[in-house]
Amino acid sequence: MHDLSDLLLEAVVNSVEAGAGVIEASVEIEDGMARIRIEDDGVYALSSDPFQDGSTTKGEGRGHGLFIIHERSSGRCRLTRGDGRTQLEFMAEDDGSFSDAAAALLPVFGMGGGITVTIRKDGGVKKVSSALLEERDAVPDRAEGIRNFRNLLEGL
Amino acid sequence: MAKLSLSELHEIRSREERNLKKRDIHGRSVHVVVAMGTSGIDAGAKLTLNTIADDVEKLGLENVIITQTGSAAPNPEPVVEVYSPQSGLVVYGSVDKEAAHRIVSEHLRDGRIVDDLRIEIKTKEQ
Repeated sequence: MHDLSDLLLEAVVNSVEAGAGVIEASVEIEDGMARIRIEDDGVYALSSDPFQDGSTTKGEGRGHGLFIIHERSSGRCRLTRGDGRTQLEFMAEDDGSFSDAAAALLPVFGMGGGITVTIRKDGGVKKVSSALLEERDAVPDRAEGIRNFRNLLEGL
Repeated sequence: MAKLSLSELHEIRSREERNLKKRDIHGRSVHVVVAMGTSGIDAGAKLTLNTIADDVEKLGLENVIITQTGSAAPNPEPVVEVYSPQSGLVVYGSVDKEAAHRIVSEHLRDGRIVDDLRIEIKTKEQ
């Protein structure tokens, strides 16, 4: 069963698989609801209903990520395109899975570069980017980077 | 000893060359790959990855690099691959939190393959 931070990860995987070089995600949590937006510059060959299970242009056995997002958000999701950018937006009840921001975001930033995630919750804002992680030697793919990554997230 | 065909020899050489490259990624001798496709995420691969990352950091295993890849279906997920100069490629299946702890302490730290977690990798055609 996917939690909310898993849905963000699914969305970022989707962007990476579309060849996106720039992925900007935002998570806004307010009054028990989470609104997640992901915008990227990937190249998609979208089917007529990208949220249908198995709907994909990526090959057999794929195309479940957007379906899961559709299910978990009870249909409160949309995918729009324009000016070379694709935006995926969905809403779901907050399940607390972003409370540990480091655990939620470590797999996201392990997906590659060009990623920015902004989390707005309880009046606070955490903004993390691949560029910042490079700058602070905090790419979480080895012991020292993981240590720096966790310290950075706690300090934001 | 049975003779190998030319194509079999090519395959072995190609595989060993790939393994050699994996032995020194960014100066790290041990490469851990966690499958993070949709089926892996659904099976708990995020917790698996975070557990491995936590333990590698706590134990200070500076020779280990951790990366992620896509779906490992139809294998029992979460799937974790470990490449090391001593053992080559070892694939583990159904790697929950407890299994992740064991892989780090027994294989990554102590260099012993965790036999009861090891799987033979299957492709979609099998």
